[in-house]
Amino acid sequence: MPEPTDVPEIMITTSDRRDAGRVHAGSDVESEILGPVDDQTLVSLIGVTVLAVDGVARLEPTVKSLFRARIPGSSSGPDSPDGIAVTSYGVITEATVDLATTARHQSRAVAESIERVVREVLEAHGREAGQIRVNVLSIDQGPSAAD
Amino acid sequence: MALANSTTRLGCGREIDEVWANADAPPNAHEMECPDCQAARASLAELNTATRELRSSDREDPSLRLSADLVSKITSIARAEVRRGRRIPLRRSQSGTDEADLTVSEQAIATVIRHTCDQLPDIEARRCSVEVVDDAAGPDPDAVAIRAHLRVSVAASTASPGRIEALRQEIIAAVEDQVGVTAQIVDIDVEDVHDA
Repeated sequence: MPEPTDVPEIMITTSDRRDAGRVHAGSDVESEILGPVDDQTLVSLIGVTVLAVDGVARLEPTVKSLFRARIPGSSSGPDSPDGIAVTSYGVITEATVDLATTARHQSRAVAESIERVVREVLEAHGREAGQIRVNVLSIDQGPSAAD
Repeated sequence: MALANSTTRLGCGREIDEVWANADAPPNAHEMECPDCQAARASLAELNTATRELRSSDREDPSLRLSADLVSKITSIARAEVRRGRRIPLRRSQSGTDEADLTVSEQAIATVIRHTCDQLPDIEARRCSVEVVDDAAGPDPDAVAIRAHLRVSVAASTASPGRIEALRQEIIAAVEDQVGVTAQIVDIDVEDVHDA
């Protein structure tokens, strides 16, 4: 039987925290107001944040994300984590996360946690969160390093 | 070969689109005489040449070619995407649109169902398919209901309707626990009997 999914505590920090002010955007998730970052950095930050969520086995690449990483000027670069894409329209940023979860955690609860923490990351960097899509592409039945 | 949404009007009163439409053909009678059209044709010819050179340069640029490793990776991922099947919503749409923001692949749910079946030593899972049930009426208003269709082979020594019903209940529980959708209908076809 899977265990209930807990929302992890996530703290995002940068080397320059002079202007940082702490906010509580959710009951369990704590984040800092940080400076603006470009989309490629945002992809990396979201990748790190998503991998810290309980029940996430790994990020999953898709054909779309592979091609996106090769488009000059794209939000994803060759070194960007697989399975994360962001698209910005002015201050509004949309995000898509493709991943695998572990069977010990309910996929829907994990996806809702990811939706929440991605929103936190976007807002912490002064973005207005648009649609956040989370696609669970596979569910690992065996033990995972994420557990 | 028209320029989309162009409203540029030349000094002679013609639209640049008209010149562009005739750019590949020899100049017509008006263009032979009109300095505005001749200037426009010359500019468009330069643009055309620059575009061709850029395309040619891109074709020969090794940095824009896909490596064999990348092609292999793309092929492998494309095959995996086909196997994953459709994306099933994990909750009912909250934006009022048809597009689900949280989804799980059909293959992921099928894996949960087959794995549940494989825990039973006397039943072997075979093909499994999943589809969304539109008229869900469960206790959770956000929950999506699915219909699963599983084909199995049962050991001859233990085949009984009771075993299949027990499997059905285990599948319902596993799908709820591991996925978070409601397995409202679970069809199980015993399509073979095997030696234990």
